Amino acid sequence: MSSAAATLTADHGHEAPTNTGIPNKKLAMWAFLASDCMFFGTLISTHLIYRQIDQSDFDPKSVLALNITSISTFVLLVSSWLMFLAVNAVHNGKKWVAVRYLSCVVFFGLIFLGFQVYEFSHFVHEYHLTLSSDLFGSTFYVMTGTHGAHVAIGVFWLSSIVIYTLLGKSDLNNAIDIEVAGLYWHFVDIVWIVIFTAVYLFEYV
Amino acid sequence: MSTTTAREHAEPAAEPPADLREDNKMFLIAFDIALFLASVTLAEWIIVTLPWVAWLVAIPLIVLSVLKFVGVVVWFMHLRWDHKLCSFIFVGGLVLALGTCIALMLLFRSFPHHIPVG
Repeated sequence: MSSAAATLTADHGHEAPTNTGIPNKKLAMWAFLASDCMFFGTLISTHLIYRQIDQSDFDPKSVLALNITSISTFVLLVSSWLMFLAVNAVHNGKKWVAVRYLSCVVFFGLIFLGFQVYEFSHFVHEYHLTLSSDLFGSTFYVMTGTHGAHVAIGVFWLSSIVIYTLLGKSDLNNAIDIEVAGLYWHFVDIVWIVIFTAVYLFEYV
Repeated sequence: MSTTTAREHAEPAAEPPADLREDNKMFLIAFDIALFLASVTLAEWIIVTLPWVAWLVAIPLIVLSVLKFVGVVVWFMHLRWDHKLCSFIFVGGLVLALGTCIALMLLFRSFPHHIPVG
């Protein structure tokens, strides 16, 4: 067993033993992420299908700002890296290092949300693209908005962990809680990787 | 005492503790992966600006996107070191999602007049 694997399995001391050897919270999170894959899969395919059959003269390239979206993709990737380091720090029992990394993840998550709020408000005010204006608007806002809601939930979750730890109500002694939050955060990142390619980049092909 | 003698008698540099070495190793692995993912994003951004035919742009974009996806899932989500059941559950959901997407795309590309628009 590699040292990383040993680290990952050694810190589940506060979890009750299970038949599978996998903590229940972690197994439940993987099952949830698998179901969320299907949820986002249908949203993305709906957007792509309606893009194909949309007969309007509207050209999404005229509104989508690739530069800004590339930066926000980079921001989310950096947050994923910091989340990995936070989980690693918790496994090594370095509570305050983990809190620092988690705070940075929250900060980068908020930057991403800021970019999304800017993008949405820009589309609405400059291009009058709303949820009900046309097919592109409907599928685009539902899909990216659902992803944004996932990011917002992640930010809320991680910031509550940070605040509870700072207030002394939690001491981060249960590594599996942070690991599960980390899985969720990384999932939000991979969903954005797919949305960025399928929705933004493919418009330029 | 000459400088040479002092150097000969100097204590060897203390080895950093094992947990610090492990921390540094994990930090560098994570940093390398993050750097790779950022480079892939930059490459995607460059590729879409190239005046190539559509398929020549689309294929590298899909490949790079899959690389990023796999990079995050395998290393950042620890799937590489996790129990096989976790991989099975996640890949199962992913295959179902991908299958649904491909089926829908093929179905509606073949029969566009069946789509209820408006």
